[in-house]
Amino acid sequence: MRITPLLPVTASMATAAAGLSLSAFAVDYMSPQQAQAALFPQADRFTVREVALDAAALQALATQAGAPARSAQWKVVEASQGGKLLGWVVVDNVVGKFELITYAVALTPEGVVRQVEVLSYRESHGGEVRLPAWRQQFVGKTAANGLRLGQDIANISGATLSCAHLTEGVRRIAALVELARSRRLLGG
Amino acid sequence: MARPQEMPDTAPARPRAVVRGWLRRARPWLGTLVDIGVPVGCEPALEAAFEAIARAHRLMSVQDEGSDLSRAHAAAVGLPVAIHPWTAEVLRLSLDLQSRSDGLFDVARGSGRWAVRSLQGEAGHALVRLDAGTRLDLGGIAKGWAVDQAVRAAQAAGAAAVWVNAGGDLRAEGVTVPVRLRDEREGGAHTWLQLSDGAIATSDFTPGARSELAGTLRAAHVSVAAPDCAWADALTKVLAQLGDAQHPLAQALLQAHGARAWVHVR
Repeated sequence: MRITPLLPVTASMATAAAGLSLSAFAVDYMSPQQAQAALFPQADRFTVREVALDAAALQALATQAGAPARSAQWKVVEASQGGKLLGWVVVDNVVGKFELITYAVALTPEGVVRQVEVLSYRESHGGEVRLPAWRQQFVGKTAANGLRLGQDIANISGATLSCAHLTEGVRRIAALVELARSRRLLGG
Repeated sequence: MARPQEMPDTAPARPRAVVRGWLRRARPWLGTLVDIGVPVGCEPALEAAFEAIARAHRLMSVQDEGSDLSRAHAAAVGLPVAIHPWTAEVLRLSLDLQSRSDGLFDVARGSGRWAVRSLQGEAGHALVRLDAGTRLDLGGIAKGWAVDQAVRAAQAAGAAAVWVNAGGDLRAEGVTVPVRLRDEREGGAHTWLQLSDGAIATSDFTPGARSELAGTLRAAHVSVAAPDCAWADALTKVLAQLGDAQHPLAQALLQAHGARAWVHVR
């Protein structure tokens, strides 16, 4: 085991107490396109299906997911190979105590959740994460800016991050795809 | 606020693997986000590491109905329930630390008695609850232990370097990782230290925190570094109750595990 101090924690905490800024923390893992390819490596075609939920469908989604439906507009990506349906990918964001997490859920053609991949993780301070303007600055950034893997491999140690919001989001997406399939909202 | 413990380090660094880039993924497991990095080209090692995490989750999560713990909780008192060798090992480590920490580390949180028994005539172990109220929660050690298993799995699958961070409990082998410490009240992260070939775990029990501690809390925000993540994880719970890394019991435990401790907030 080897440990090299970079800054005494007490000094940096004193800085924080004095009202000076702490560093935010962000990691980009994959772009949505990379996630699609990783989740369905056999797919030769990805088709975006726009799903618009009416009031009744929104209500049904909330009931099925056991959580607020949150949005009436969803993009469900259909993965196929030679015209054969392989499954679905849905990309979504969730906001936690300090964090904004973008993630992708892969589902089987039957709508069963097969895998969850985190695309980006952004952690802030001072409640910024709850401000729409702060969140908006990252929209589209994951895909457009490319990834700088290997250049910044910092890790955070801290109290265990709760994944409750993400778990709820995955449940919502499973319910969404189930609903869209049963109501034939996914085209094809 | 307490001063951090002095941390002289004379251990020689192992030769670093030459890594041309990292393959890094994060997935939700163990009730948190698990972030794993391996050198580019080591996809099988990455998948092996996540598979170890997923297995530990399925075996030891009390949220998972089919886990060893959930099955034991559902079984009648006195009825042995066969458990996976991994669960048996974590329970054995837990009992060991419980006895050496004067009971401060207690996966039953005082809910009742339990035992791990060898299954007669077969290789294997069983968990037996000895009181009706016994409820085990391995949240204080299993995350760190799963991190250790994931690191081993990645190494066995050919990764010369790997790090695994299970929502704040992290271990790095063959690579030096800058570690930041989250500000648990305001969010954001402080520059802190660099870690290689070892593990660091942090626990926060300040009011409003995401974790709760059974027992008397004397230090609310603590970190422990140790060669193994299971011990780093578990020792934060003991340290939080002792309140001071200079406490004789803390000193004995830290020394026994080659560990170091930081009390960030009392």
